[in-house]
Amino acid sequence: MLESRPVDLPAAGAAGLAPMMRDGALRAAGALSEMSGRCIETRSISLRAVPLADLPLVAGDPERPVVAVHLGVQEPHGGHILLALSEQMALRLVDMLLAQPAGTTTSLDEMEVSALAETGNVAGAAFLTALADRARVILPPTPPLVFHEMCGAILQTLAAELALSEQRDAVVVETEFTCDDESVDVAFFLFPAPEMVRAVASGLVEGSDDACSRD
Amino acid sequence: MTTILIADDAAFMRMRCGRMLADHGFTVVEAENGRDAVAKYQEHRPDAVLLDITMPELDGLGALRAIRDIDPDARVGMVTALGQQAVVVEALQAGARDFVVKPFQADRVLESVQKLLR
Amino acid sequence: MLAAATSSVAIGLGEMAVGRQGELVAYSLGSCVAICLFDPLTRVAGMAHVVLPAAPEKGPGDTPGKYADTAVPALLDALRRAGASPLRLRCHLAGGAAVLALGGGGKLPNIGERNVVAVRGALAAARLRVLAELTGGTQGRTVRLHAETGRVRVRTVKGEEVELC
Repeated sequence: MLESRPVDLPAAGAAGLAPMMRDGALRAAGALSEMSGRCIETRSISLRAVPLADLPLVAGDPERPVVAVHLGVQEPHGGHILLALSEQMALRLVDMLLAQPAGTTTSLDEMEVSALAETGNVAGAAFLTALADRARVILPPTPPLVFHEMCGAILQTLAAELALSEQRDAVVVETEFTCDDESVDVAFFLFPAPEMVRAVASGLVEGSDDACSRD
Repeated sequence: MTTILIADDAAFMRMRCGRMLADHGFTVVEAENGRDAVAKYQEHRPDAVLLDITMPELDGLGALRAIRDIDPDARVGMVTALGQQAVVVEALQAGARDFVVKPFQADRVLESVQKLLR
Repeated sequence: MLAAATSSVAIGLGEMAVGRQGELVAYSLGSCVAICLFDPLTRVAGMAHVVLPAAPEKGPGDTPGKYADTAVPALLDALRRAGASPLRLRCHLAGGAAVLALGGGGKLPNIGERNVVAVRGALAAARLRVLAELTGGTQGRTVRLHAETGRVRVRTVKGEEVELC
């Protein structure tokens, strides 16, 4: 059973984080829409703390094969972004990206993988831009990489990395999408490292003290 | 023939931009990371450069600085998903003449090239 | 003929368990290592799901299974109490992969490799010999230990299943 709880953060930070994550998710959806030529919208957005031991379960059945695009968030902030798609959805998305009829793509070769990597890159960067600009920090991602693997194995690897720094919980931001109003098996995750959460939360607090609003 | 150097680690992006620019009569040279971009700049001395930022080996900002060290008049534009305000400022201060945020319409990149060539 | 239902107990990150019935299962191992032990005489099986190579100085807390150096003694202890003898134990390993094998600028430490080395070291210190293992590489694995027979089966994302002998 997956245990999770609301994120425990300084009050001002917590109040600001949720709308900022929402903004990030909307921007990621917008980026996906542009890339795919379809109407991609957010179906749900959640922000929660999950015990590391439960992290492999956040995307459902851990043995479920996914095609996932991974971006790291560079030091000093740290964190991970995953755009996880079912195998079928990955093939469908490639067709959209290459402006091909649905069903054309049947395997993920170099160009197809590159198209998915770039899509993850653009969606992830759009999300980070929402956070970075509101909190006035720089959050550069690492180059995207694509994995075809059991989703639990990917998540478990991230959990182990977080366990190295003796954390007990991971902060998980999750967004699910619709494509042309239909639910699709695409999930976007941000796992911010504690330093990233701190930097973003304190950036928000400082920002709110400014006399002039930047919005 | 006007030569444009495109640097992006995504083969998909190089293909899209390259094809579009070739269709408009440009000669396209491709690089797949910042280090490759600098080397190709030395070799081809293109009329304009479009640089991605998030790339392995050497990122786009590093490549921008290295290219401008070679040629202070280099006409470089950034084409990147990394559209954070602080990054835009840094790139412009380092000498980039334009900054296109992905995802973009094809026209925007063409406009950027035309702006760089002016 | 109806197949007998096999109850499965999932051994999550840092957990360990001992049993005489059903299956002990560690799902989708990435960098983690599953230690599978089985006494063929008393038919007791045990599994630990190791996450990190060594416990911190302050100790493993309430999750000895989480660290290679504490998991082995703790699992042996539990097996002894269940009637197993360390001298008879058959030992198999699976996991310890580098699933997010990041080239170039990737900085994710290869915890999988470190876990495998640490687990082997802890087993050697306990005088246990590994009979067979499917470790390392870049693929995720699910490992099932059948408590009544000691059969160990390992499966990857492609659905291929291998039995460790």
